[in-house]
Amino acid sequence: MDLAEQPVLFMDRHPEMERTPVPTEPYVSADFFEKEREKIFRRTWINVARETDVPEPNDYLVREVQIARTSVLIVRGKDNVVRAFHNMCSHRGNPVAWDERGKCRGAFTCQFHGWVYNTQGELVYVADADRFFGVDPQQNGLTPIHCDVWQGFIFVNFAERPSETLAGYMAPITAGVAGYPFADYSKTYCYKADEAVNWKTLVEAQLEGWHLPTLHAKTLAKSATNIGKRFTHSALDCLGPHGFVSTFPPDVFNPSPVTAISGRYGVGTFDAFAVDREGDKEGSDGFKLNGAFDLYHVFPNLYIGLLNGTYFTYNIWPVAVDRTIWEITGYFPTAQNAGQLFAQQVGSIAFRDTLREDGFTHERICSVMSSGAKKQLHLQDEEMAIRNFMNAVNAYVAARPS
Amino acid sequence: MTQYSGRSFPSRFAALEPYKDFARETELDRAETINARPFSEIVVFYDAMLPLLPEALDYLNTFDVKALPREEANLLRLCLAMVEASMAVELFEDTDPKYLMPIRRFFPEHDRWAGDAAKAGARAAA
Repeated sequence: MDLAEQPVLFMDRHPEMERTPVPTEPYVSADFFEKEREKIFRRTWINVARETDVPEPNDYLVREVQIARTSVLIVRGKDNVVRAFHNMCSHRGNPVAWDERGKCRGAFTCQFHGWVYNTQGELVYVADADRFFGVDPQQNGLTPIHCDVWQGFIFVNFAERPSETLAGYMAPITAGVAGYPFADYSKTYCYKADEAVNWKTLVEAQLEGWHLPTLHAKTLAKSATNIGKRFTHSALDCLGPHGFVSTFPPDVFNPSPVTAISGRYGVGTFDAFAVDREGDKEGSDGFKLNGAFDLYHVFPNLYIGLLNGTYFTYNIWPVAVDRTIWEITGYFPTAQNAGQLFAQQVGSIAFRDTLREDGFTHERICSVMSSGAKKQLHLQDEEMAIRNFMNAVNAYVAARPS
Repeated sequence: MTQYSGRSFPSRFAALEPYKDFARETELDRAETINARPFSEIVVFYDAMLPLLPEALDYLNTFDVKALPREEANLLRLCLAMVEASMAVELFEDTDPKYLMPIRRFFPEHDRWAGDAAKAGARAAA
């Protein structure tokens, strides 16, 4: 068949999108990485937590955000509002919260010299104030970071003045996600992979399901694709800079013996992928998926994966041009008994090992990307969401400083 | 005062005593233990455990999962080790698959959560 005559499915909806090969330079250039740091990670809304991580007034959480070169202190005030600050004392720079999470007593006392800040970031006590030479507490509170909440996800924006509100930024995704019962699930597992890879390679590896039958032949393929049928996405959308991916569940799902047993006790993950949207919807309250799962990429570095009975997120943290930390967090209903706990472990471990296959691939790609052997890469129609992501990266990097 | 029986598991699961070494407390430990064993050894464990798995889960379901006595806690850990064994036997046919990131570099943060919660509880109570 003449290549020019092959039916093109998804990209026909986007005639403006180019079909040319893409350069390898952005994956290996330290200069480009620094531009991404300034033009993307200090300009967009970045997810750092869930509201359920700081459920009550005085609860706090600290996130090291290396791409922004800062430590972010997230705290719920007594007015129930969640705020974010740079975790840095105005005196001589010591982070005022040393623990990853905790409950403060309405204030943070710097453990260096005892300055005190309340949960609204106000400097309420300057130790040895009379020996300073004019420290105005009002000018020396914790430096705030723009912070807002969407569907229970806490986002921050490091820009001095964000170019759009969080609601506006997320608008292309909100309709698709609204109604998903996030509140039914609580944080159950979290894997943290410190990989030698450029963050974009990692993001892109998840922005298409075409690799499922090949890379994940031994793991997820049987639950999320139809073995023997040519792969095509059930949905592939560009939602502004964000993306959406879904795959057809298998026509026939034969769970392995242990998965079959676990299915009698609770919902895991492979079985959640494999369940048709018309099938048993434990915990999903009638929310309709577009396929085996609904996977949203929120530009730049967040994924939200919705399934029947569980959901997961990826936070993809760039550290250097060739180093990225991948956090994978899974949410299940709180296990009420050993059987449910077992089923959830079947789910999390099967998922874990699938993603370990991805991690292996990421690092192998990175090991040769700087060789100069290839100046360009090729993308097919089913990889449209990757091209959309690259376009968004380039658009932000090329944008004039605001 | 509870007598220490010398058994790892409840008496009706005495047949699983040879596999007590797999009943580790953390996911990392269970995964690395399975990774380090020859495949044939894990097949033996898998084959012994599979027919007892539903009975073990039904039995454990009669307890409060947050307050399991010692033998029952060990039995649950053995069931969780069976999950690791099932990956090796059912999916990879290998206890240390070649093309995966090592588990230690794909770190299960949740192993720390119970310990952190216990410490936070102790601090709050102090």
